[in-house]
Amino acid sequence: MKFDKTHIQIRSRTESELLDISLHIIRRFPIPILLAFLVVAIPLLLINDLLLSHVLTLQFNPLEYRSGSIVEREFTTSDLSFKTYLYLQIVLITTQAPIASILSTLMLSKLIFNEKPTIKGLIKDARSCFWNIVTAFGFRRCIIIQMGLLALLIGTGYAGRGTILTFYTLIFIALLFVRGNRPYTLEIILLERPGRDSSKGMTLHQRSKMLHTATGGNVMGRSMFGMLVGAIFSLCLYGAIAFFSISLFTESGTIESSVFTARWLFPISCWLAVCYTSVVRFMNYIDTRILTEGWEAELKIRTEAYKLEQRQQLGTSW
Amino acid sequence: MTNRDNSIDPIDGTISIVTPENITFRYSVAGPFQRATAFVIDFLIRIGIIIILLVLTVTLQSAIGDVGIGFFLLSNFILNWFYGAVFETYMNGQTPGKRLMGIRAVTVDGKPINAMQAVMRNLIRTADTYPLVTPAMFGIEFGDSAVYVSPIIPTFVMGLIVMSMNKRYQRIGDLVAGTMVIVDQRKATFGLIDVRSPQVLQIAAMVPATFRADQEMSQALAHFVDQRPRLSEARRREIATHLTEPLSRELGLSPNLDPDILLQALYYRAFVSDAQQELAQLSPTATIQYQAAPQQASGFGQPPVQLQSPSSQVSQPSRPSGRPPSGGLLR
Repeated sequence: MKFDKTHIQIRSRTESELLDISLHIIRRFPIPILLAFLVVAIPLLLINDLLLSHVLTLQFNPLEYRSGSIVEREFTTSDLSFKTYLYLQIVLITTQAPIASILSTLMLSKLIFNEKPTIKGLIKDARSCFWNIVTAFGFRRCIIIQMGLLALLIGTGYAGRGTILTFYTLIFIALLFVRGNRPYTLEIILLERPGRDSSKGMTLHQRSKMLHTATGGNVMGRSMFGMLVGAIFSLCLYGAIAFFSISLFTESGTIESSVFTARWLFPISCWLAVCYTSVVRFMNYIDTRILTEGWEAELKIRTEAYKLEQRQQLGTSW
Repeated sequence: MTNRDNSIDPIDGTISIVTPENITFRYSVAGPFQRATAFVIDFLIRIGIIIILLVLTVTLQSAIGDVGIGFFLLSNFILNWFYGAVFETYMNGQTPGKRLMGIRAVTVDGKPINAMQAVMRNLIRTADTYPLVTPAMFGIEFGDSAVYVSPIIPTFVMGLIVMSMNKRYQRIGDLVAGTMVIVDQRKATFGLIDVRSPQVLQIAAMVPATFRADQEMSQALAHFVDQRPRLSEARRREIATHLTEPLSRELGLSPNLDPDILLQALYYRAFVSDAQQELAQLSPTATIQYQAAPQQASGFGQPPVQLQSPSSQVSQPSRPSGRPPSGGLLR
């Protein structure tokens, strides 16, 4: 492997450069990245719909139903149900964002070193990290717990809803801090394959602590900025998608409380933003490693070592 | 961008422009997020001017009557449509926001833009803000008439899509006017790093005289020495070992030498002692002077040194920059 023959120039970059270059990467590899992302995101989209679609029919206040044309009345829901649904959807997608990008992260890691990965190969790679992912994200990052709370919501009456939603919100707030502090956990699990036993090398906790604390507040600042960009990006995408949807499918020129918007347009725009932010996160991870571990130097040194060994094998002198 | 051996064109946000004289210039292109900050600064300046004009209009309304309102509306129109064009024409492709962010609009050939191009690229900016949405579309109302009272919010999705789809990050206005925005700031250039220590000098003396580092090897050594102060000792050794094992065999050195010190010694040989000999051969009066470089080497703690020759006719030994070969050495 020629280590300096990468698809991405290995060098340290600023945050805005990373955001720009992520667009460039998506432009160069649109289909592999999107395909790898959708393999995980589409099942999550459907599971989330199963967990949340009932919220749109919740009768918080029957008087809140809005009048519109006959067609629109059949496809609209109460204002409060609509807003509650959007809130729950945002929280759930933000929580699930790292696991949705498992395959796209693996894909990116292969693509930058000029490999030609297949989805089947990536799934095989991801399966070898299955338990680390389940422990780190399913339990510690509460994805399973959040989904469990939403499942409980299905059969709960008015009194129980408040308690569940309070827990759901509190977990989310805590999660934002944890994610902000340790944004590259997924990349460490997938790309560095830490052991589960400290006697066999560095564990995930040790490796994560070493990487995330090496640059001080830089990691958290970048992570929070990335989340903010993701949020703005998804709103812009939603606005654009809604604009075309309104122009083509609605009579009144507004999209308020539309079931179709809530169930499909909104989550799709959020997942597309997650796809972009996963590339940004991967680039941030690479940049952090370049800074803290001297990747730029290592890649050049290893290339020279490789060339020298090749020369020695061929028997050519210095 | 220059293609390398196996045709990989590494993504680095840079483009090459070859002049008719066959000279290649490399520019770092500013992408949407680098340009967004400049846009926000210019937007805030415009808002500030509009507020001042509004206050003046209200204050002077009793004296000049409706003429003030007319003047305000006209100023507002000119400011919104010609702010960028005027500044870019008279400030060589920069607005105050662009100047603060160190970026500049140039033609796709790398030449300064003219007035027509500045006007064109700024007039068509509106197309990049599409689609426009209103809060009323989403049921958020600010008054009785939901649609017409709501503010209009640009999503910039059109501009973002167009910029993402071309290598120069050109928005629609840039494509029409044949312009692009480049990063104008020059990166810091580093001096040589002083690695002289008794151990390094001792090992440097053991390296055979036949050792000659080619350009790529020199760059690798320079990268290592630049970055080693921020790496742990174990990590330095780990990186250095990749190269020192085959190198020790090649140079007939003991395999037990400290890899970190060996690479520093080779760096010293490549950039200081061998260069000193070359200088001495070229000009007997030439000496190497150790002095603080204009800019500290990334805060690495060690004072960088620079090679200097008293004779301007003696070319200085070149040292590769901290960036890889295709990473914009000519900016």
